[in-house]
Amino acid sequence: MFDQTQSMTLHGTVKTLQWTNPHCYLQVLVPSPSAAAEWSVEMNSPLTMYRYGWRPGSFKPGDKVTVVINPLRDGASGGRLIEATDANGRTFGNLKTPAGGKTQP
Amino acid sequence: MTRRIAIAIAGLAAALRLSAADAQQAQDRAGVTGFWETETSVALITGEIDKAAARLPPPPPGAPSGGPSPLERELPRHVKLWGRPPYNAQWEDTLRNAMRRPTPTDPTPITKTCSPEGFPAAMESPFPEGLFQVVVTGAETLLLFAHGEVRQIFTDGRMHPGSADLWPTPLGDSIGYWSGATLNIDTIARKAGPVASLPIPGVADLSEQAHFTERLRLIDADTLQNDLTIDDPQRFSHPWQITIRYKRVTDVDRLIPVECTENDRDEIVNGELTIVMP
Repeated sequence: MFDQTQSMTLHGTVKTLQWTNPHCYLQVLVPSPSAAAEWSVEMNSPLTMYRYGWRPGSFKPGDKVTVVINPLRDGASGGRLIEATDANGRTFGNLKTPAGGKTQP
Repeated sequence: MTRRIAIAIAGLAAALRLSAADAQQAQDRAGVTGFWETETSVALITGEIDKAAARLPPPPPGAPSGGPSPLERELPRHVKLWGRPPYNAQWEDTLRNAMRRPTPTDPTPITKTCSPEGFPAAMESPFPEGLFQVVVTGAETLLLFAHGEVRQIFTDGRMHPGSADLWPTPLGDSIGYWSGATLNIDTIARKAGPVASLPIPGVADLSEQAHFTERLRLIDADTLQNDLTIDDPQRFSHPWQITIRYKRVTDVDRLIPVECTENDRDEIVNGELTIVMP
């Protein structure tokens, strides 16, 4: 499903953070010459993301975000989250870190 | 008079000893309460298994594209219940014949599977969603899973129900007793079928005759060990013994629910699993 040998960085704004089962999604609007393209960034379950330091309010609509993903193999606008960094430089990952999930700058 | 005082003192001392033993027992049992996850889950969420997967050799030339991901190739090495059980000769033949038949390609990755796992798979979930909470009461010990499953292990001295009141279920029927700080569990009437609801060739297929014993105990304050024995006279040549270890979970203080249907956006499009737009 995801090409785990590739990573891609998206710079955009958050449309919404779907805090849902079975997986959470970060919908990101990425500017392009014609119109903003919407990307779907898949994460894990709310239980797992909570353990990684995420909360339902970690990102709000309109927040600037930089997201690193493993892209979908079929070339569609989506991927698996590696990490997301907000405008304040706070990084939220997709693994558990010794700090409890959240990596402070 | 002196004799009566001596008896009273002896009685008081015995009561104090009993009280101290009770307190120790309560402390031992309290130690197993809380949230636990398998060591495999810990290795998965800290990235250790991904690193091991990255070191795997590439698929052989000519292997179909879209096959198992490196993670899906690595993970089964870490889960003992996904290994080969000691099948008897009859079931070895059955398995060999089944393996010869071509199986349809299933693009669904194992990480998409999120339905309740049943017993004994739930006791060795490699995924962080598989964590469970242990609650000890005087009459039973409860194992609560985020998927909503509850294992009730009755420790009130009852036996398994009689045949008229017993039928196979995904978790089976469990009774137990404490010996010191060890909870001994006996489980029968587990529904027949594979240990794991995942497309893993050779994963143990159990009959309804399978009989399970577990010895659950702390080996240090943050490590719980389960010595699991599965005896299946219809399938195995001898009992299958597995040791599973759990680490204490400290980053949740409640069971955050997990389920499949709320917002499942992974779909197969043109033979490839992808994300559909909301």
